[in-house]
Amino acid sequence: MVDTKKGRSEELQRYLHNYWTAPSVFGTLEPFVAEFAADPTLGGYNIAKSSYQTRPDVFNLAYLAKEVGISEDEVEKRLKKMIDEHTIMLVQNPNTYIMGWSIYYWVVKLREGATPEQKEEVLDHIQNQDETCTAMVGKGDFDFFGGNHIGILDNLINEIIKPIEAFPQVESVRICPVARYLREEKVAQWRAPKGTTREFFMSDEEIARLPKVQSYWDETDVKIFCALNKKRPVEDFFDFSVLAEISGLKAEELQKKMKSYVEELPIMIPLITPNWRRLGLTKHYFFVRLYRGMPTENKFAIADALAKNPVWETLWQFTQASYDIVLSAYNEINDIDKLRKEIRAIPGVEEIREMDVYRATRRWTCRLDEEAGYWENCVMTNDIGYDSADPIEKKLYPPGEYHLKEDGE
Amino acid sequence: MKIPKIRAYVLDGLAHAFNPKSIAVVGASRSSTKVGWNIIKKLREDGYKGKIYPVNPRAHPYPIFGEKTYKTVRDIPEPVDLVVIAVPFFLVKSVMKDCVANGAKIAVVISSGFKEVGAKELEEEITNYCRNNGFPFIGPNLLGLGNTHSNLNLGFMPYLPKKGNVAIFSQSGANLLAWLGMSRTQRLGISLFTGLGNMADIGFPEFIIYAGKDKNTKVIALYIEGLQSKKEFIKACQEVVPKKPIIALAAGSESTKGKSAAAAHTGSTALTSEEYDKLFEEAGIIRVRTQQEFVDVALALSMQPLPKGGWVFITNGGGSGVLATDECARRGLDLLEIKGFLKQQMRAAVGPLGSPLNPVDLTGMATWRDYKMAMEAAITNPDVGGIVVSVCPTSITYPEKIAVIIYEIYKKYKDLGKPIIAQFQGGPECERANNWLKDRGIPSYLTPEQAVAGMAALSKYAEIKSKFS
Repeated sequence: MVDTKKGRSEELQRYLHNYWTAPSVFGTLEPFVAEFAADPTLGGYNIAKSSYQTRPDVFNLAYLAKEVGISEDEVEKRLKKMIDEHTIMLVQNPNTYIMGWSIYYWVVKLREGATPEQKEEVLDHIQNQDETCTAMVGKGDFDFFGGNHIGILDNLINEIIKPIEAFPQVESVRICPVARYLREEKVAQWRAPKGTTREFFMSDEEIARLPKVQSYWDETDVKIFCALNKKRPVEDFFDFSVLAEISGLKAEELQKKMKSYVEELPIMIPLITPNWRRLGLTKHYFFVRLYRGMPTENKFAIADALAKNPVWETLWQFTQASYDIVLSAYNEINDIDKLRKEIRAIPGVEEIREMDVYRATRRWTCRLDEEAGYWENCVMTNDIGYDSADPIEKKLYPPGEYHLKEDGE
Repeated sequence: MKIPKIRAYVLDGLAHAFNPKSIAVVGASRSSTKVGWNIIKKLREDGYKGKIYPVNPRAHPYPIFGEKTYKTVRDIPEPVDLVVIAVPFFLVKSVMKDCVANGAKIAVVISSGFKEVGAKELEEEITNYCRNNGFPFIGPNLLGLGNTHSNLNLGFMPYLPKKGNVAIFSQSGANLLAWLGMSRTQRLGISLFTGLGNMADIGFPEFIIYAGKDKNTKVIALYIEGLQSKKEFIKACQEVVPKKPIIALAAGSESTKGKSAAAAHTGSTALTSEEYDKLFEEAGIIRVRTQQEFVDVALALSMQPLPKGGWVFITNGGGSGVLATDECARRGLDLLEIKGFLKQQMRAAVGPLGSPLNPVDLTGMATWRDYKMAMEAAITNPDVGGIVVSVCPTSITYPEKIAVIIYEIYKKYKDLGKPIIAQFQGGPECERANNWLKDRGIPSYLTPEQAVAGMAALSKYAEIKSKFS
């Protein structure tokens, strides 16, 4: 703990280094980003991303076979089934702290008495917004939970928040800037407790329960899913000889780049996300408010302590928001009441809001609304270079046709 | 890459490319911001009636534009005529294998990221694979292709150009887009068009041979940044020019900076201007120097017969006549010397203040009747090979009336087989007259220099035809 009474500069600097959580926005041409941004294959990741749907062997089948204890052919057969049935999707998380934008989440609450049709109306709007990376629908204290890549705050307010607020059935929209990514989709992220980044978390109980609550995956499939996400060298994650065969590029070069991006810089986390909806799962979110005056380091400590529990599917710390921490766990394979009690028992917790998410229309910049015929339809957008407050830019945005008028404007 | 000779399977592939009964769009998307979405949208909007197979493993099994999607070309149940590839470069090799497995006839590779950015090895690997399997492809790194006669608009083009008889093969997508747009505003009718991109597999020679046989094509127009198979290029041109004129705009040849620009654009090595002159002479090509001249010359060649003698330039503006004379001199072209009976006829038409010499100056007092008299005198005279009619709009010269007279004379004396070119210089009324005539098969220009360029091209092609026939 820092001795604040001493007020020594060195200590203060160390404190800021450890606990500085302002949304960080750098340029996309930072020295550590330029190489990554200029590589169209992203070390072979993009080859795998566009091919695994027909070539499950982009994943290292030998590693998976050994890890799961079945033959490579069996792994490939099962992977193909998982992919064909849309129960898994390959994604990557770039290091948002240095990519030139930050992630701003928001939660939306509808007015009491809002009809299902009114909810659907807001849902349609959110679903069709290509700027939005993540959008989930639920019930409880909030109705929608979404997020955007944002470089300029005005754009978040003008293009995302205000249009949602304009619906008369919307009671409130709360902005939640992400300060710390600790875990996403069961995989530890950039600001997870030291040394755990890329670690996969799933409790023994969850692993045991998952095959029993749905009909898509049996125990072996669950093992494959866990093995796919297990932290390991990139050469065990992908089969670079297959990526080379598909692309005509050199396996060694792809692997070298990928190693640099994932293990050395690091700037990218590849992971396999489950289609929890297809598996019949729903997610329970806890939005936790800590006491205002609590020192930052204590908030960090609480988040770090929560990160020890493998059941959390999502774990983020927000900054300058109504809520400090958000966590989620799958309803069907966890004891949500028990988890709630555990959170309540944490000293310093002021308030908990909860939401059951039953539908995701967007995630990982992909449209996932299979009801509308979308799965893995990636639309990566951000607001870099766009100023929504400028009247000219506002007039010309969004992209698409624009016709000059004969008279006047 | 070089070709040792014209390949029959490539010509067959090109026939499928320009008249496909089925098209697979690899990279088809459900997002309106993606190329793969726009390709299908444009195909349907512009009237393509054939079968479309959207291919995208991420979209499968959801339909795109109501069409069933496929994970790969390999999965399509029948051989596809044309596969358009709009996916990142690192997937192209794999898609080509799927095309071969499907038995597809030809591919158009829109994807970039090959030779033009230094990935020559990959481009060659893919080309060799395709050649070894007898599977031709156009590109990579191109805009797209089209055929106005089969309502085919495949690629990045915002719309189909005006239907006509000029085939354009361009190494630049940007310039091709310009000509497609100008075809609408300047009434240049186009038959086939394609960007050639890096010309990894199919280059100019095979396009030229194909267009030479295409029944809807009368003129072949090329935009060149570099040639890979010079011998085959010359041979192909020599084979075609007795039947159809070929014009070419060779870019990047005027300086070392131009050469570098061409290399950076399509990875091509441009020749020097002198080298192009020599090569075009040998091949029987008419060389043009600017984007506008490309259109002007194509217009004349596509619309009018060839002159069998000298030209007469008829105008009501002395100044336009002087500019035309200067331009003729620059192009090494002499206007016909007017003498004898024709001179007497012209004197009657021009009145006391005009000049019966060539250019014939009807003066600013000229009316449509004076134009009619002068034009009829010239076109019926056996010494005259063709006429250019230039009009300056005065308060008593009504351009649109003169346009009607030009058209009437064109129809009346069409059987004489003599070319007529018009030129209206001035404001909107002149633009209307120019376009009205072009819509009726008479090339009509805004400036005297353009009119002379058209005239010179017709004369030049008459020489080429006689030399190579």
